[in-house]
Amino acid sequence: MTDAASTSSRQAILDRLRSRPVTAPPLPDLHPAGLVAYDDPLAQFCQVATSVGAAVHRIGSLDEIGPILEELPPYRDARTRASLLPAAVPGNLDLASVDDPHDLASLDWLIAAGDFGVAENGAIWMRTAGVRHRASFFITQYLAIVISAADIVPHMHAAYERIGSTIEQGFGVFIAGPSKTADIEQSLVLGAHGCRALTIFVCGEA
Amino acid sequence: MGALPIVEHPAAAAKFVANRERMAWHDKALWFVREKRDRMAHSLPEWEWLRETASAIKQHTIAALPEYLEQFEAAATRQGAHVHWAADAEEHNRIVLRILEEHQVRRVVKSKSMLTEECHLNPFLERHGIEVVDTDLGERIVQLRHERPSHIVLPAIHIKKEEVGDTFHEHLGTEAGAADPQYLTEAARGHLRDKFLAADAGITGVNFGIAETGGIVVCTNEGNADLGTSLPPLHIACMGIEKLIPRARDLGVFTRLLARSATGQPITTYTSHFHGPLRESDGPEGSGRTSGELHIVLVDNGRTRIRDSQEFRPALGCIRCGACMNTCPVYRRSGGHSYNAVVPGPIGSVLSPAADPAAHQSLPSACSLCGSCTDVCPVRIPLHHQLLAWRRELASRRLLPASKRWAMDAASQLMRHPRLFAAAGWLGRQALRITPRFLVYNRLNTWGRRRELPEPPRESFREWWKQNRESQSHD
Repeated sequence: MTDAASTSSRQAILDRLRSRPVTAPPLPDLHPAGLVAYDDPLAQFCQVATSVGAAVHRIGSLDEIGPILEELPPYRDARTRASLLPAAVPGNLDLASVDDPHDLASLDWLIAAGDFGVAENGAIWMRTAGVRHRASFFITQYLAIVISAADIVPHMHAAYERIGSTIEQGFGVFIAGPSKTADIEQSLVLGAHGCRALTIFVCGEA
Repeated sequence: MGALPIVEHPAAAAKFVANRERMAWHDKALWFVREKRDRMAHSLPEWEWLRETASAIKQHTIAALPEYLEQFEAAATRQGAHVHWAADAEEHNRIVLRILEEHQVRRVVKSKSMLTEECHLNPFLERHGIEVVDTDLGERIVQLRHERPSHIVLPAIHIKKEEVGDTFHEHLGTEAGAADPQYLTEAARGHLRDKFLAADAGITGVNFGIAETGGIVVCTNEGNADLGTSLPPLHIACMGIEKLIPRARDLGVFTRLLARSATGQPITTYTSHFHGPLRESDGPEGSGRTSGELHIVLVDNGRTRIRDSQEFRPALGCIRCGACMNTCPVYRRSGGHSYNAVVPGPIGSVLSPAADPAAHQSLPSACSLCGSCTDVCPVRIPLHHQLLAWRRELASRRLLPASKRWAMDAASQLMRHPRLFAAAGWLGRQALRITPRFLVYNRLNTWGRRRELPEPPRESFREWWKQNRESQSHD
């Protein structure tokens, strides 16, 4: 794919950089003292996730998800639902059967499992591993994510520590609240291009 | 770039400043964002440690840039991405066009990228018959109005909702006179969903490139980058060479700073990590069948030149959060368009003269040296020191306009000759006392505009000192 011009630009850029050596200060250590600590990271996670627009439900078991969703009009009225936790909540669309991601345009709900939550910002780390189309997470009108109450890390340093080298396995995304914009006069509007609403289920005890 | 007319900042700001009500509205909107940023910064005891560490990581990376670029290229290639190198904007545009043409692409959805603005990619692709749709809501508004973004994070911050309503009425068929942000955003969502579904390729910028893993990170609130790269099979990521960070775990520092500094959010809604192209059933468990292509275009376009300069090198650490704009008293009251530059505000006033000193010579003076930008910068770029350094640099290159040069020369003479200084002070005090109002408060004297000049004192400080203190100090 790389043509001759790009190759010579590569060399020109590297030559130019090397013709001006700059002494590099060492890469700083990332294990500081005095990082923010939360007495109750789970409570902090729930509070911040709510403040960035998510609806958070603490549940004791996965069986509680269905009844809570049934209370929500957009869920009751939804025509197309996909579930990656079919044992807990059944869906009516098998994502693996969809050949073209464009056919997901009519997807109303996706119920998925998150890896872990981050207390300081309410974000959830999501892998698209095993899901046929990455677009499912972004094209769905409504998104519900289930995480375990035991899977909360305090901050982003701990988050990347936990992700480790698995970050190299394709695609991963932190999702914090529903998609949003404030591009019109700084008025916050939920539901920009991604999900209109995000429902988080935190299952079990920390 | 050379085609842009050379306009001095005060002249370009005149129109914006003339509407005092609108100026106050703009000022307030940005200060509101600045206050949100403060609340976020104060919520973390380690905030200053984060800034210091971010600055150190960036300085380290910029110094060792050739090694990290090679490491990034090798790792990204291993991940299945195609890496391209562009020396300047023109080459960047040609590479992007070639990739698009090779894939017979007619329609492109683009998420926010200041680099593609810098390279003027949209008009270039449009000239070659490719439809480019900006999908960030603010950028789409600006695009439909044939304007430029006035802010790097809030592209439409200068536009009122009624004006957005008019634009959407014309282009998207919304109700005439409708100006409710919720309603207008919903209309844009529908309009842009169609564009996402019809696109043959997605173009994104890059917030961070990870040298060690060859991955790229893109941060958005709207989810537009994610939709634009998961529906069409082709993803082109345009990235300035200064966007690299060495390790994945360095992201812990930058993702904590970026959104807090930019909009006062704890993190952007979507922080997406791409390693390799679109795959079906991604990850170790899945089959990982590649269903798309990822092309990463590394762009210099003057960045190596900035790196050459000891003085301005730290500016390459910029993570494009826009905090310096939100806090800048000049930016808030003159609007982003007054800078006539792709990146406005304090950081733009440092970067733009590096690209074209003659065209942007007035920008380093669009600054009161208050230092607020330096205080909020998440990577601790000494912005106001750099703006002062640019003034010195531009003066020594004789790039200042004649009026400013004469005034500076005169001031320099005055400062160097105490007797002359005293005489001029006396003359000024007498003159201000007896000069009729119309001679002081007119169009020619900018110091008399919109302000009352102070009562001229009877005596100078030196005279006062002589009478009141000098005798005592000799006691």
